[in-house]
Amino acid sequence: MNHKVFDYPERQKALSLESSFIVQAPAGSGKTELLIQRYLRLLAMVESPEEIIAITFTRKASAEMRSRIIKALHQARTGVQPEDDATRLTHEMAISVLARDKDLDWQLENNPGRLRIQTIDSLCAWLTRQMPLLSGLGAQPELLENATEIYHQAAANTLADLESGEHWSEAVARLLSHLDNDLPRVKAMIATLLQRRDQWLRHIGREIDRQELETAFQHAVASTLENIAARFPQVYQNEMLQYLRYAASNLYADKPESAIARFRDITQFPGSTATDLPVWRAIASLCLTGANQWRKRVDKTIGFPKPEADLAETETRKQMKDGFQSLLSRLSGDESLTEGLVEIHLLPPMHFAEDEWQIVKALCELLLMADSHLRVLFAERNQIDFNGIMLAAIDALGQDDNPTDLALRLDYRIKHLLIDEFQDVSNNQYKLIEKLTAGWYPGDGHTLFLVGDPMQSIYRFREAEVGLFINTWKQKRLGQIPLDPLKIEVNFRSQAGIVNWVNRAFDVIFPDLADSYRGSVSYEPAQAFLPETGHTAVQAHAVLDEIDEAKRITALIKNSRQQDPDRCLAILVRNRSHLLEITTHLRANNLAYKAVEIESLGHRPEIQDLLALTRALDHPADRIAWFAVLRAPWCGITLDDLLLLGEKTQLTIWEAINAADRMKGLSADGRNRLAVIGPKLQHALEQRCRRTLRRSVESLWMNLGGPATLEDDSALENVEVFFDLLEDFDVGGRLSESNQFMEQVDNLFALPAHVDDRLQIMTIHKAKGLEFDVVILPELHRGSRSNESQLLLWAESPHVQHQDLLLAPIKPAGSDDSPFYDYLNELEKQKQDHELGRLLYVAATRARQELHLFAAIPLDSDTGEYKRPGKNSLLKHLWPVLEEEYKALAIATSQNSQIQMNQDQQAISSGMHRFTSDWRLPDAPADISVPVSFDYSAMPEVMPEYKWAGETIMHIGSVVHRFLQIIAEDGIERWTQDYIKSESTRFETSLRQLGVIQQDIDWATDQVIRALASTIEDETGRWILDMRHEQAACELPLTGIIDNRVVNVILDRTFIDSEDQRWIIDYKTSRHEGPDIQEFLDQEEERYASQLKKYAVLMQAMENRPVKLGLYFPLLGQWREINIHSEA
Amino acid sequence: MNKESGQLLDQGYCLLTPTTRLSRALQHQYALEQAEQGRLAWQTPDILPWQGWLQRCWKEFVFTRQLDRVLLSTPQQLYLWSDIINRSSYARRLLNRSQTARLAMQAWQLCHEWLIPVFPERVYVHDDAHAFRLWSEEYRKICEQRDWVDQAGLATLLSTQSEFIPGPEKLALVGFDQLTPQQRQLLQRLADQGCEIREVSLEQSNIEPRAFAFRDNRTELYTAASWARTRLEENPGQRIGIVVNNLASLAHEIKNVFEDVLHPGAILDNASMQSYCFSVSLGRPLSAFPMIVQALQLLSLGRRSLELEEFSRLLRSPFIKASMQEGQCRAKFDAAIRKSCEAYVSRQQLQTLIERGKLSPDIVPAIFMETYLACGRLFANTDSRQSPSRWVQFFTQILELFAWPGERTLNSDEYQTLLEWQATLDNLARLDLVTKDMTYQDALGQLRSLLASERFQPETREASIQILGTNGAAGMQFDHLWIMNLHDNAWPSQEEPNAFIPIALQRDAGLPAASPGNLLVHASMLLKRLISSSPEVVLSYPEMEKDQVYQPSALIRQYLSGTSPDIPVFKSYANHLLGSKSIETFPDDQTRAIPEGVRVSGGTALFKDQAACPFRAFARHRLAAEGLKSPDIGLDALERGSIAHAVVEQFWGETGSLENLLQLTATQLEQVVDAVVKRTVKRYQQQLPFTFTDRFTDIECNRLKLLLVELAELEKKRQAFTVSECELKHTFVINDIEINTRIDRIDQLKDGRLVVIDYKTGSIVPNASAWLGERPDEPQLPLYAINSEGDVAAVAFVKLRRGEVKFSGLSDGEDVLPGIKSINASKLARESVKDWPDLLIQWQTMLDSLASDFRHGIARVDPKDKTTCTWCDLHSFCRIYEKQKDLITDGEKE
Ligand code: SF4
Repeated sequence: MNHKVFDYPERQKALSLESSFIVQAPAGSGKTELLIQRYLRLLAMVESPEEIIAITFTRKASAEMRSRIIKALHQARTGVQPEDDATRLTHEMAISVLARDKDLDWQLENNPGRLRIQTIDSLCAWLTRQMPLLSGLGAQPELLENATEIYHQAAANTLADLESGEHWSEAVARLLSHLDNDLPRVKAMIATLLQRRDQWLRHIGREIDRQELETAFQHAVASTLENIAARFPQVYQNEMLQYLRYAASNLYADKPESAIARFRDITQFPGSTATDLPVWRAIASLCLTGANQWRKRVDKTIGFPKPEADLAETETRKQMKDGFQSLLSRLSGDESLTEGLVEIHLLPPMHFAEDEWQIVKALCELLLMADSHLRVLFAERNQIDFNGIMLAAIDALGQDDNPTDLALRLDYRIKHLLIDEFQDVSNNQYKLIEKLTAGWYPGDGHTLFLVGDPMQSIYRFREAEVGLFINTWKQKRLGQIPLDPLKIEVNFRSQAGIVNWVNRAFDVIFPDLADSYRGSVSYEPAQAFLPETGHTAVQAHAVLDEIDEAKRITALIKNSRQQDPDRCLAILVRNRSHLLEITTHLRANNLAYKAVEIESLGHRPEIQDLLALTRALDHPADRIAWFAVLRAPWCGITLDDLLLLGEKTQLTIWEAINAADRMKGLSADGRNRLAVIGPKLQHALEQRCRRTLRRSVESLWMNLGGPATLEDDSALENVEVFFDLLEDFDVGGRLSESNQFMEQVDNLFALPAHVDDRLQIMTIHKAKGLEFDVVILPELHRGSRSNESQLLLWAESPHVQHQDLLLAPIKPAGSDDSPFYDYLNELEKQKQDHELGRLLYVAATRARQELHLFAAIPLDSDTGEYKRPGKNSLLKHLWPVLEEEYKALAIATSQNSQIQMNQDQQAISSGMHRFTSDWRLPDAPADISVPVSFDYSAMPEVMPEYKWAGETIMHIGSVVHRFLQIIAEDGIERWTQDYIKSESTRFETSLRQLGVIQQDIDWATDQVIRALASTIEDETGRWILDMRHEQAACELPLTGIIDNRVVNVILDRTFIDSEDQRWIIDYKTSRHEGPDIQEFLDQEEERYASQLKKYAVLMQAMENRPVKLGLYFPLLGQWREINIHSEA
Repeated sequence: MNKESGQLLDQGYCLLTPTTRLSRALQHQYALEQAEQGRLAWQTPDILPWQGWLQRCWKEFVFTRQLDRVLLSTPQQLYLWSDIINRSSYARRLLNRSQTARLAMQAWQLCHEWLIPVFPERVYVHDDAHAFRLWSEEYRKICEQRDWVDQAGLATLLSTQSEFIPGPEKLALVGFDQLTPQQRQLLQRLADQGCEIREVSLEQSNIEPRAFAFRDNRTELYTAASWARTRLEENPGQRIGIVVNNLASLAHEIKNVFEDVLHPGAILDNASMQSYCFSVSLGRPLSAFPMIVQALQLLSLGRRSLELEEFSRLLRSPFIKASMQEGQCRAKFDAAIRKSCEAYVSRQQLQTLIERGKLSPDIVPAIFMETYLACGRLFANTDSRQSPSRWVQFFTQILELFAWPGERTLNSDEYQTLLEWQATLDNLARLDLVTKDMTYQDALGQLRSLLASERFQPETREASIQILGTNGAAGMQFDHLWIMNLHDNAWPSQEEPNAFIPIALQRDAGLPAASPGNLLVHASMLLKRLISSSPEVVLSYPEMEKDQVYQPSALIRQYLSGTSPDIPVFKSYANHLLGSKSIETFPDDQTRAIPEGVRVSGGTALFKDQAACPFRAFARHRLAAEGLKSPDIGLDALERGSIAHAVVEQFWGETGSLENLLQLTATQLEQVVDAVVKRTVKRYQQQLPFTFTDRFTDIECNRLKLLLVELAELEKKRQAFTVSECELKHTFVINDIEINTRIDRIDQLKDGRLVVIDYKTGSIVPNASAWLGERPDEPQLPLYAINSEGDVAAVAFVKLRRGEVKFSGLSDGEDVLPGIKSINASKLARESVKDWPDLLIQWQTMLDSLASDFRHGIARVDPKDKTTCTWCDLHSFCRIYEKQKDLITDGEKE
């Protein structure tokens, strides 16, 4: 690093290998360079590079870090000393690594895999592979990217336990009654939770104690009340009490059930224990209306009756009423008090209602069951999900008090851990790090290095828990390892204009205090390294609507291009759906862009057509799909003709197409078109499942001319993406899980075009870690859908000594009363709201030179004022900073473009696209022609019937063959009947070795004996086995070429007889019982004649001698000569 | 075949190769040479892979020594390992035991190959190795007791007995990159016995290879295929090698790309059984072949009820009896079952449905049903335990019953698959040796794992282009060679050592995977050897794949030129087609009118659809375009609605009027509710036996009771009424369209006017705006209102959901229904409607116009608003997305 930079000492310190650190490094502060430098410095001193493990958030980040290190080594080798200070340090470090590499013969450059830079997921997978038993996985199962289907299955199995009569059936029943017996919904909810089981499993794995749980909530309530109590001005406390007593006594008379009425005699201003909550509630409801506004009217409903003239206490009434009114007006200015009072209503009571508690118990029991069902499914299918691997890895690392000694299994000891993006770790990842570092002690040569920026923690939906960073920072330790907290603050990325604006804005946007319980962090200002440039750094834009916005953004981009064509621009959005209008305009203006996972494919016509084709092939009765196939451009049947085809609803469309010939009224053109596609469909249907699913669909699609319906080559790439997905759903050549397939099609994205990197479009999440000259943020006013309710909510609250667990079950159907659930839900909302502010920070800090903030500021037609931004919008966070500016801009905008507003919705086009009737499928380019090679495929001349007869017969044959060979080679003389019998154990052994099952052994041995015995008895048999023949051979292997097919055969017996004739004899150990033996032999002869003739052909190709053929039946002692010239 | 090999063969040497692949290639080359010399037959040369040779030696050995020892087959070994692991104390903790057995067996094999003793006492081992040690001891003990020989130890055993090995005294090794210590040991012993052992040296070429970077694997493959095509076009007789690092991960893609480039027309043939000029040396597990997938499904049918999806797959299978003949019928049968069934299908229930006529006889596939029922009977005895070979017989019976693999003529690949299937059954039957009787589930499980573990590839013609993995290419020689996918993440490979063997032992023994250093040495040696095996060599790597960015392997960096290759890229068939595009566009959004005087009939859905989107009405009501249902567990929203409707109908049928309701005491009310719910639920229970299990029924009854009581409480707050009808069918005619519909309920007030009620059970209940405008969402009550003979005082929705029961709607005058305002006071209606009579007139006009549009065949794709399409399933038929796109692009042009 440059020593001129302001935080040089911190950066230096971060490279010290003496201690462990947690480093807060804001956007643009050169965090990666710092990591690399530390990594290099470590490399220069370790025994083997595997001792250092660096963990990054994404695979892409790992690859980048690795390649930067290798590049540094490479540059060090080539020896060019870099000019600037920043990289010089890296360079020097790399040189010392090279020296180490040479000394220890690491060959890092050739073997970059030795740099253990990886994601936490791949670290876990690696760990579990090292410890098959400890991890409980055994051999590594297949890792599923998406296990939704299994979660659903496991959930369904769990619910099926309703009737299983196990003790948890009761739990299922309870939950179902709780949720209105809506099985599909409950199933889906369990499935969702299973996906996130890493979150709750460790909580409910042990028995939940009611009291402990309630105490945890009470702690949480207490800590909130403490906050509120501190905010209530002490001077007004007595006054408040007085009014409370007054109101209470009035209400006690009128409405004794009122929650306020209890406090007629209260003397003590409430404190901050959970038992004080009812008093606080009463106070809050005296002060605020149901809509959480300070009361303007003080009246009878809250215990302040009207002072009527004729009553005695009129005076008191008036006094009290006015007095309270004045108190309210004094208090109402206090924002933080207001916030506090509002929060009171959300605080849960002291205890669970009995029902609620039963549901908690039932849920926990049921979820544990769901988890075991899931494990069973994983085991059956030999698959697992990422969470499964992570949990297994944590398991494998051992108990806290008894950590697994990894060094025993590896060839080295893990000594240094570097963790990037530490603000986005989840509870389990944290646990894993704790376990990996268990047994490390300060000063024993191990180091831990955590880097991150809590202000950029935006992965809550992936269980990131920013509170972990905050707590680690505060406690200055992780597990047993003390950490030095370090802050670096120089921003090398953005010009001063941006850095300063961000400093100002986010100081307002972020809360003042970091609070790990609510997931909030406070702002840490950055120091600009780069000077201000001429550009206006940050600019707000108020737009009318999406179209207006798209137009302005297009103009902005064009403008920027004119000024400087090389600048790199990015449009960043929260949600892809925000982009439709913009991308359309960009395309229309020929502005090329690169969009990563932005453009949904599911809605493209070409994908819809393919989907229809896939479904139609999959199911002949899917009428919609079949109609769609007929309506697609490759066919283009008119509505009139469709009407005829679809008329007879008892026919499938395919049947109707086949009956089209006889259909009256069909147009000539329609008839022709059907005649063209008919045979193509027929072929596809007939040959189903002979190819992979993907190829089947592709085949039909090509036949129909699919590619000729596409707009351009980019559509061809999209199609490829679809086909790839189809491959994932191929089971036995057919579509499996079709519903899930459809869902996934909706989640497909077009591949980024490879054209132009100067304009990129992506989500803010994807942009993390990247930077651009100009950043455009559209649609800041848009909100997002709110969360769906979840079976179980949980949170952890840091308590003095330990973590408190908070758990709440879903509300019962048809009820609104679930204070515990509401409380945790609100907590979750707060966390998300804080994260939204951070998302804005991430987006804003991507910019090097310019930042553009687009939002629509609508007018409220009732009040005539500009509306406040929606609750879930990014704009809401910007509002305190830019409210005035936006309002001013909005006025200007609306004046400028009054006229434009009248953009009526256009009618949807009525046109149908289809091939012209003269279009024909062009011939395919020619195949490559090569000389036809020999064929090795086996294909019988006559297809045998499918039959499994067992192998014993075959094995008897082999043993007989083998011993006939021996007899022929030994000489037949030794082989007498007695000798054969005496050898029976040998036959038995041979049979057994071939795998004849025990129960068949005796019988089979007997067969062998019979075969050999009858052969040596038989005259022909003796002649065949005679040793004295010329060129006699047994089991002679021959190869030859017949009809360009390579045939390999083995001749059982061959020799030349005294008349110089070549005999080829095949043994057949067929059995036959019954009288008509000749008939049987005739059949056998017919069956084997062609085979033997083949032998003859081969033999004749080798020698020039007359060939004679024979079949010998040892078991029967029978012989057949086969006429070589006979027709068969 | 190089000269040396030929000569050695002539001298009576037996050639040993490391792979079957190489043996085959050598045999082929030998055949070519023979053919070139004009021979048509010859004595088969003795060339075989190492493993095959070992087996041969073993056979001879036991035969001559007359030993009664059995050599275990791999499945038998695996069974033993699984069995040992299952019986061990570790079993309970393991997620996947059979895969663990495989891993352990592999470790056992490695220990033998590298002569690592398992594990001497002095070696300190970690937990996993310790477990392996225990298992191995057990395994060894069993083998000793039964006198079994296992494959891993075969070579070692032979080397101790080598003087008894008969056969050729001359061995020549071809293409071995590295011999394992076990192999070396055996060969050494043979040499000591006087056996002549030679190593055949391969031809070496010294041409500098070229290396290139490609965008991604696909581009890399596509270019390689184009390159191969060009080379073959230049000279058709050449041998081309494509060596793919990590072949398995790319196998599918490779096949597709090479087919598209070398045989572009082949895609048109869906059976695709021509012979290719390339071959990919990578089998697939047998269990992935369509035919086998089907066989397994048949074997697992069992007696149980089937999941609907499973049953549906069976119905539509091409691999069973009469699949073509009954194909269309079976599809219709399936569609019908999906409508009337639950998530499960049982034989009994099917029969009942057929008998009761719920499934119409003309869609019942007779042959299928007969087979399916018969199969149920066959499965009746699957409780017993039998030997594996008996199970094999049972399996065969089932398959025969279904006439598996169907009626299509098998092609060569399928025939070979069938043979392999039989071989697998043989393997299963052979487990008799190592096991006792097993259950049906176990036998099936064994079969499954056998099928999953065996990689199989049908034999084909010997191809000009050989696509191989890095190891499969051992000893092969080419005229042109392309080695791809050499990125730094995979080359040198990141193979990990077997976790059961302590790493120190592996390192000492020198296993390649034991250290990164070894892997690097191994990789560079392999690459060097590959490069020298051909006079032209191209190396390549992908720059990225998915979100991964790759660097070139350091081992190829020196050859990278940075230029792009001068390889003409083949223009694909798809691209040709794209160029041939010829599209016409013409308007087609109206079809034949329904002739005057012809009545059509339908439900209110017809109007609803016509209002939402005319095309939808056309598709659904004139074409019967219906999607397939796929039932989930439990009751779906529709069923939940219908059962709630039924309960309420019964309730009012019984109660009759508000007066009666008010007279009921709490207990009486409860009794009525109870009876009503019980009666209704019973009906459903018969229809949906899988769903209405005992407990479920209880819960459902409870739910309905609560709902009913809540409704009763609400109704009590109304002014007096009598129920004049519940769920009665009405038929209205508008514009000659006959509408048959049920009105949920009609009440009569004291003044004689009517209140028309529609129950809604969804979470979002429409408000009065659903009746307003030209395209109302809910035209049912307006339909009734304008046709009613009596005066209608109010139209209302009742939300039937627990905790949320309430009325919403419009009324003529105040206080007709609790919570409903008079039309004049309603904010919604005020803007568009003057008063009640005006409303009725508007409704009349609206319904007339919808009816007339429908009659006139208006089939415009015109969804009412943005959300209309969300729950519609016709997107691909109406082509809405294409039309939206047209709209935007047209708009831009203006
Ligand atoms: S998807 Fe939309 S446009 Fe198509 S038919 Fe359905 S409602 Fe109409």
